[in-house]
Amino acid sequence: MADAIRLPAERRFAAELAALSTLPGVRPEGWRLAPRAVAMFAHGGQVGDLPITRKFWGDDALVERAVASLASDRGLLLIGEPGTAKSWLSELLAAGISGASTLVIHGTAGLTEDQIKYGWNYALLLAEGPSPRALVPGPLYTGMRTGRIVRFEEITRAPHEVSDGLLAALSEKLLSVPELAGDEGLLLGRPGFNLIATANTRDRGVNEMSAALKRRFNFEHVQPVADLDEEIRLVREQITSWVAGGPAAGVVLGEDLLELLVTTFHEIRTGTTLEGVRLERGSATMSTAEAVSVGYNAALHASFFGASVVAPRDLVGWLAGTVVKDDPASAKALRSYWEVAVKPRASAERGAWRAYWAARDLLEGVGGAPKSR
Amino acid sequence: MARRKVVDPNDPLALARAVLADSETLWLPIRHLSPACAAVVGRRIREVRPAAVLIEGPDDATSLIPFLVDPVAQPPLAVLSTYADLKNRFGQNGILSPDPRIPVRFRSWWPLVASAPEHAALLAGHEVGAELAFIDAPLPAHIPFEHARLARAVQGPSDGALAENAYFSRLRGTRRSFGEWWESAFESGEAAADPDRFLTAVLVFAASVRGLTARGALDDGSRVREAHMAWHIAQARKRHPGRVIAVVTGAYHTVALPWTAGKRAAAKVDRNSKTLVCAWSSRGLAALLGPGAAPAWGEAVWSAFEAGETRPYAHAVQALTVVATRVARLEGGASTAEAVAAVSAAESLAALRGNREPTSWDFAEGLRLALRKGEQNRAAVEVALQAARVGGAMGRLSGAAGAPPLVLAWNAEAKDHRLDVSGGEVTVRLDVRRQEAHRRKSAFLHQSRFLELPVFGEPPFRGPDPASGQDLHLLGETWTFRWREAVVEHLVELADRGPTPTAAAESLMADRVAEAAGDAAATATLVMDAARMGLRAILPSVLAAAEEAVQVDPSFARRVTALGRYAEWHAVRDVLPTFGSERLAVLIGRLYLRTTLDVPSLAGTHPDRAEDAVEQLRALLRHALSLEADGAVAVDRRPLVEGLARLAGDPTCPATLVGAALGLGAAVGAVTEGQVARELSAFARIDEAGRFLDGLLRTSRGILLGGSALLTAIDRLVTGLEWDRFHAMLPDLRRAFTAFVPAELQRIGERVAGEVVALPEGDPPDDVARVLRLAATAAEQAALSVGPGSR
Repeated sequence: MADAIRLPAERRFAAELAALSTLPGVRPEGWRLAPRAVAMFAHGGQVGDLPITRKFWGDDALVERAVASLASDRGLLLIGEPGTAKSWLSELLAAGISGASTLVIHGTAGLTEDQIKYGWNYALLLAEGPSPRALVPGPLYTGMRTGRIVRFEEITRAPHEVSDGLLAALSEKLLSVPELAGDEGLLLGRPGFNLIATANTRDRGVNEMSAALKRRFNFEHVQPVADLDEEIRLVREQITSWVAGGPAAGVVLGEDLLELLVTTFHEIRTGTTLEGVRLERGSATMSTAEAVSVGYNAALHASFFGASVVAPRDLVGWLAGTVVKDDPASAKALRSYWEVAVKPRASAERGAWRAYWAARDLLEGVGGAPKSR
Repeated sequence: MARRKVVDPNDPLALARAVLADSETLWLPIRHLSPACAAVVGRRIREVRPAAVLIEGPDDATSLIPFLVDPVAQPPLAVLSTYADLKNRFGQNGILSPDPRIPVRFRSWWPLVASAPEHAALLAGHEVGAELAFIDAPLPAHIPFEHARLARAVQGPSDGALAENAYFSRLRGTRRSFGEWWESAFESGEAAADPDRFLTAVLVFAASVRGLTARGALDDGSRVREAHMAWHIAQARKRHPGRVIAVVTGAYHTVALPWTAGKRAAAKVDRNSKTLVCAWSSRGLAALLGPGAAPAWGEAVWSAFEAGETRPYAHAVQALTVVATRVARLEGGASTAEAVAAVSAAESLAALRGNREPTSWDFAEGLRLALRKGEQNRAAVEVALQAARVGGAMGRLSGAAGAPPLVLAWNAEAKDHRLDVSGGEVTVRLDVRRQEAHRRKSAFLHQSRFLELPVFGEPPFRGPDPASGQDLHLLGETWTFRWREAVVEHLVELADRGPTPTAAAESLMADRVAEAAGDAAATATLVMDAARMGLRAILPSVLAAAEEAVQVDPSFARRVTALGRYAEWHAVRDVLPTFGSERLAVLIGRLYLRTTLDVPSLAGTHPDRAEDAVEQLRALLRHALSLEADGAVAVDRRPLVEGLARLAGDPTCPATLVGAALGLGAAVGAVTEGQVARELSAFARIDEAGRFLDGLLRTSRGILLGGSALLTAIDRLVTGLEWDRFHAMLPDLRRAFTAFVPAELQRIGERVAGEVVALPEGDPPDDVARVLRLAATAAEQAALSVGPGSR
């Protein structure tokens, strides 16, 4: 599939997956890789001469627990704040275990059971009556039939009457198709089938999942990257890979700007500066993913409209839009951050912080605040 | 000791082989608290049947070993060594203790749990009839290298050098800690089933660590201790010529001992040293070992080893998962299916990580994976996990072992006082005024509280408390008493302070007195505490400290507080052993005199602190009147009155204090309303008149409710002000009038309108009318602002 905006992980890293498949180790039935190889796919390593890139930045033990969980008879539920790479990890695990990460269900308020399980080709249904030919398999049906990982994104946003339809699949590993008779009316899940769900603690927690459904999952809480240096490294890698080969390929995003960008996100997210001063916090998540997005957008902007070099001022403009959105409290928190954190560093003439401070005029009027005269 | 073949220290395998090939000595390298090491040690000793088993532990505890191997003894146990540095031998008094006069009480612990290799060695050695001995240097030899160097008074077992070195840093891979790495590398039934291979692996690791350790790092005391241990080994050889000696020490030491010349440590025990063995609890042990400690894990593993399980750690996972899910069920969660899932997750994690059996980390993470359902039950799961990891085991020693005298004495006294030590919560009511037996019981309970023993509910005590001045109206004391297993551990920790609760309390009191030196308020509290604890022997020295503090404490506030405490004491003095104490009465008299003589010095108070000073003056007067009324202490109010007069007359004194001094003078009848009115009229600092009134009315509000001279003076002051000055004074005026309730303000307002301001017939002139309105508004607004927080 050339010219795709984004390739799924199993295609993008096909060479790594092929190398990892040569690693020894007992494979659970239906798995393409041994569990240790799946974990290595996510947290990086080396197979012979081929480096396996680190793709998930965070707690390696969390990856191990997630893999171990999927080898059991229970599903895996990844919960955490937005932008903590839950979906990305889910994709990596599915790609590593099943070689396919595209069996995805997206939880929305309008999700229906047939979008999860199966539907019908109504023309065939009318012509032939219910038959396997007329059945249009949904992601869950396909995953169970082929023994693959199914991903359910934002499971708590789905109506719980619909998500509770997963109980039989997770408990008894079977899916009933009442419209079909005999053996065709009962799909038994093949080895390799399991479910990875994600849930966002910000919009809606897991409170609305039924207790019965919760018990079918092992829970793993995904935290934001705690170490600043690691986060800078992650953001650098992500932005580099996004701009590579694209219109912003020639843009320079210096280390000092990366430090500005990531430090800002890190400090506002944790509510404390690196020096230990408490900060106001708005409602913005300030995730690493948003930091990457700001950096990438600034690079694009510099490429199209600038001199192919990202300046601190460019970051501030994008930052305001990403952080504040429509929340005046977040706008206030951002301006407060400039006073409390940026200003002292600018006074101490630290690197690009002076220019960062000088760009504070771009924060005025953001979030509905009146501009100073 | 026979000379051993020189081995290249850079060849860990050769060194390990050389150690294990020693025909004279069965070297058993261990990691403290390792079940696998315990299994190997026990097995090898039973196979080889050495003449002596020498174990790393303080050698002054050797005579106590029979109690540890007694059939009645049951772990968790501990060897505790203490050293009270009364002469500041190690130079840490005032560094590791709050004050140079307070001796540091150094402690070292050697826990002996079922899964400890040292404990396994003791039992196996006893079984084969070997001589048993501890061979490490006693506590005083450790102090300069451990306690003083690491700046802590209490030291327990640690991985120390094994964990903190460059070799392990390179070896650890993705392991998060030394403990996790060790468990994955060594803790499995399979590993322990091949002792030769196991011991070789441990020695190779330790030798590699040692080989890469800088020589300077051995100044952690290792060399001194190893020389001491080598000396003991040599002595044991002389006692058992031609026979094998087993030596059980930390692996870090084992790889050096065969080549170490023996030399006894210079630091010896003296009368300030005590070493004892005691029964402990799992919870106490976990508190001692710090976060992450898992006594119950070790116990479960050991039980499985003893039962012959081939996968003892997997067995422990199952056993503890059941415990955890039972606890979690109490909180409303966790089913059997989740327990199964937790065990399965632990096994999967172990397989994924290349562990032969699940480690305690795999267990914990598997449990969390299976049981946690988001934030709402996170705390409950952690409670369940902690309960499973720590457990609730209680150790036991035979009666012959005794317990520290303090433990025995406290238990005996508790029984004498008919206090329930079975664990239930009881309410104890004491009529301390009328019953001598109740006073003795009260003294015992106060001693227990002073020693911070966890035997009380919340609140622990209600009753007349002269130290804090609370509940003096109560006739008796009510205690909530509840015995907990942690009491024994606390008492053991206090054992070096004395053989009885009274002695221990006196020892602690001496430290507190030293800490409180020069503080009149703190020493007053200690006098009260000593009195109600019945510490008659130490009371004179506590009084001496209080007397000195009265002389030297420069703080007026603290002296007033102290006076208050002594004054409150008078309300309950007849129940205290200080009743009738001439010395205490003299102390109080001197305190009162010194404090009143200092009243004029308050003129130097910063205006921002004036309100505090007013409260101190009010308190001083209150305490003086209380003592005067009581009659037991000679109180002459003349110095106080004179002091207040001098304060009021000092031109540098803040206006609030001037007013307050006059108000207090009026309260004792030394100053009349007319005099106050004249003072106000003559007050030169017009702009501060509001503060003057504030201070006055805080201390003597009644002065404005009587005659009209003062009211007239206030009226003239206010009406004579220009608008701007009045406006600036308004906040102070408002605050001053918050001393009154609304009905009183109403009355004052009426008097202002009627008595003080005689309105002419017809319309009043504009300026007078305006001032009247402003004054009435000020009074109304003051009335509105009366309420919580308005003052």
